[in-house]
Amino acid sequence: MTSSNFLRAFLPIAVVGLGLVACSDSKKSASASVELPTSALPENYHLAAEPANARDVLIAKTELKDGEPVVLRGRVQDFVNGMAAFTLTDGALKSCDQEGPMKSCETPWDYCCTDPAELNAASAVIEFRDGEAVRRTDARGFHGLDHLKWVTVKGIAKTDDKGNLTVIADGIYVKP
Amino acid sequence: MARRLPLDYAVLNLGRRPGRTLLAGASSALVAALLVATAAFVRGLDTTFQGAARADTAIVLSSVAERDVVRSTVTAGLGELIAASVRGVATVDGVACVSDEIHMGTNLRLGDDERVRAGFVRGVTDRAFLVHDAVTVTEGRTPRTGEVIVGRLAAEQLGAREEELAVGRTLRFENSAFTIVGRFAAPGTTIEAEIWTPLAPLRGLTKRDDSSATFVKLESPDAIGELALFAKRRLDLELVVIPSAVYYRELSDYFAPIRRLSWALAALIALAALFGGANTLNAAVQDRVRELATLRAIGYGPWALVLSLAEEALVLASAGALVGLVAARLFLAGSSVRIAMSAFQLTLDPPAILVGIAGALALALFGTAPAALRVLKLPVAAALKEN
Repeated sequence: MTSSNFLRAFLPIAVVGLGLVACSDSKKSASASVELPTSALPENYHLAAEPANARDVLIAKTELKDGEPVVLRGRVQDFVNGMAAFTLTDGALKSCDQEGPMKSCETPWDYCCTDPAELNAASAVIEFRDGEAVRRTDARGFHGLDHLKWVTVKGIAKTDDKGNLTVIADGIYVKP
Repeated sequence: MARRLPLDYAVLNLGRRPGRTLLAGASSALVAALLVATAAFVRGLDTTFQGAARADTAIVLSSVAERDVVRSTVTAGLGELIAASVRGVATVDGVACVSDEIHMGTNLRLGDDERVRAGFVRGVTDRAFLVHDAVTVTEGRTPRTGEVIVGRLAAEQLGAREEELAVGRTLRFENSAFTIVGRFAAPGTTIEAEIWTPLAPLRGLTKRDDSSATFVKLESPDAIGELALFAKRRLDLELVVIPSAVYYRELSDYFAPIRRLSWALAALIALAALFGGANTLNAAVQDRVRELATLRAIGYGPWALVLSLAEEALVLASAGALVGLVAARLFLAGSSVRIAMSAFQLTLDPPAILVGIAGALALALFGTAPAALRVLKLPVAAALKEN
């Protein structure tokens, strides 16, 4: 029985071979639970209570003058990797998981459903500095600071004639 | 210790059916050559993108361009702005390593030939050579207004002969003629398939007052954060910073289906060769069944016969693989492949050769399985009587 022996010996090889050929990029659905990194930002930045008289980003950008003290509130949009800085967006803007056609968006904090010009107009940069330089550490993870968290920041405004607003922060309250 | 058949027996067996041996050897040669070609193609594609990627270099482009440099538009003079605003930008002799560039796919004509060819043109300043340090002008000089330099693989990308892109020849695009004044190499990068011309005149010709992107070389990979911070501060410019390693990895990922398809085709052909080889060896055992039974009868164990069969298959596959490797070396070394708006060279390196040899030998071993099973189950008394 030549043919049956042949098949018996070859069947496993063929199956393995076809398996290799049919091998596809079957990415496992990665677990969405990502632990927050530990931030090395000094503790003195932490505000235990929300400061009063906070202004929204959109309003602050029209009112603030360079060098003026400010209390700013909004939602964390995105972080700068390796730097103690993040973008704060006006709370009136809806992130992708709240509004728009991409409610299952895996990165709703990028506000990809919002017009970029509108997003930029409603955003400011928050920086934690050591002297003149921004601290070389991640801000993410500082007392639960993460994407889309509501925060209130106290600091000094830096504005330019292009409508950009940077806040040099000396305190941050992260809403639980 | 169990008696083993001498290696000579396996080798001499190959000479008993020269036609069959020749065909099986040719099959091994083809499989080895095919596997080497596939590995060289895939590795060439990979290394081309890896070559352009550098940990200390980042690309600043428009945040609305969806990471496509050709579609991106950034303000002219962005490089100067970055050099003045960002800490950690690398310098060479006091000159900041920032390169404003226009990247465009355009229709080209070579010399007097009216045939239209799709080519990739990059508008650059002298600073591009500070950032893209893989680039070396191998012939001629850097271009001025109305001139271009062409990459080593530009002819392949354009589907032209090398001599059509020789120094002194002309090419036309954007309704202007350009003289080729130099050639450059940038080994292992996509840049080699490009045509470079000065940025400012190209802006005029294309009626644009912006750049596509700015390439920035930093003092260390850590400084990419400073550049990203600059982009955040200047929200009005709508910029995004992508480390070049990430950018080129994403480009490489784009070609992943092509790589998978190449391996799948090679595997299918190898599988066909495997079945063919196994069938041939099985038939050889059938032909020699009395002889094998005799060897069993005089004291050789079934595993000695199986080992001899495996040696026979491996010797033949090795010889075939060597022929296949020589053929691959002759026909593939130095060859380049055109892909989209770029081209890359096949990488015929040790890993690619190893894939070819290992593949051919593995197929030979797997192909021995049916014949081995047959030998192991050989009824000696009956087989001795078989005609």
